[in-house]
Amino acid sequence: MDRNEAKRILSLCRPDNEEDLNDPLIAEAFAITENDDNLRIWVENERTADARICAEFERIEIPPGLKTSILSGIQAHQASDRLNEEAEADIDKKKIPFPGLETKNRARNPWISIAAILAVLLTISIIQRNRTAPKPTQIANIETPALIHFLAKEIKDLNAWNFDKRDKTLNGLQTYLANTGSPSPQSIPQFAESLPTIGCVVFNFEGNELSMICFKGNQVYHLITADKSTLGNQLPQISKVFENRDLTFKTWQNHKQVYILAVEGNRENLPEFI
Amino acid sequence: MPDHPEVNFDKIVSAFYQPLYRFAYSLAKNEHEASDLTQQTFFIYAKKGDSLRNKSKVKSWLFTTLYREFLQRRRKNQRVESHEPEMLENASDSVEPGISDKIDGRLAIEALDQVDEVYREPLILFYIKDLAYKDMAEILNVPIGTIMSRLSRGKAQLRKIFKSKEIKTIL
Repeated sequence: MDRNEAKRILSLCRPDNEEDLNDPLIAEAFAITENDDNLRIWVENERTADARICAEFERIEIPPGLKTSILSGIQAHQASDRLNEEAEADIDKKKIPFPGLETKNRARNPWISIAAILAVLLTISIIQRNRTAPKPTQIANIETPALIHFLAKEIKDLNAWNFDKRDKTLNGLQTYLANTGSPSPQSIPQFAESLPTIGCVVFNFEGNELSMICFKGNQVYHLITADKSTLGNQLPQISKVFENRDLTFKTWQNHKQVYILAVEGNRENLPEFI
Repeated sequence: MPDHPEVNFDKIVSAFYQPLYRFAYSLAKNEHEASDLTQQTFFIYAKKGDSLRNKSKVKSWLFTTLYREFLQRRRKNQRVESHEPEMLENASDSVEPGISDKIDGRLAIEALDQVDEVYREPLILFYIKDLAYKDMAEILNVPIGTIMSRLSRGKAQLRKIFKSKEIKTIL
């Protein structure tokens, strides 16, 4: 090992790391410093500098309560696991009466077996339904309209070059949409009125046009507008929330237009405005 | 769930949550995300830790999991950013605003932020000190020789930046 190599190796040695100290290569490099005062001083300086940087890293404050919150999170997870296990055990208990029938009897009368299987399946499905009652958003997902699926795909595929018009003012975009004969929102949710816009794009769904204006706040808000006469029947009359492809959609209607607000993430990202 | 459970888990959390948090903070440069990454790492361990046959590997497994989780989130964020480039203005990769006033260790984090990206992660792991070189190589999924050479070059860069920052702080 030459001096330069020893230098390189020693620069990677951490004095308080046991594994480094027991490394034969590092030991060999250290041996060279015994007869080389300059190298020994260089190593000492190197270590002092490293120690200062290490100390800086150690000064990164750990948030108070982090450990408690990790442990309590895990306890909650364990508790939920236990509940699931108990629920599964309940299912097993309810299954007991049916397989209790003698094999001979089942063979004699196949209808008894079929009835037993159906009864077990029915019991399981009732228990499952009670156990995992879907949240409102899940219900919404079951009935997600085709228009929402379409918009989710379009929004996910959207990039800066897809905008029909880029403008930082809402007025500029509304004028553009009106001039091109595309649906332009007649009313804007209050939270978005003061937000700058990014641009707008017009989609065609089953032969009907709908426009989308994107606002830039602390996240991107997509406001989609369509005429009620053309696409009103695609969405529920009352305001509803749907989740699709990591996006959340809130829909509502007035007497002339259908509106959909889309945001990234779950429903918590939706602003309160209706 | 690892066996068994609460006592063992408590010990593992106590032993590793601080270096893991510091690693997460150095990567994310944001207290909220660092806490979240640390918690998520232990949550994944609680779910999958029992599949870890070699219990002496817990430390590097935790660091690897945290690092992968960070990369996954970063990739997801990059997808959002490329989807709307103007969002970049809001989601810069620099140190959390106001950090200078509220967190110790800022010098190290700020200096790291200026080091070439390729050297950053090995340096963080080096200065966290707890890990062997072979563990670092495993966590970052690069050969051990690469770790060594990146560290050599990275340290030189970091040292320069750190020194100039220290001088500015003193002035």
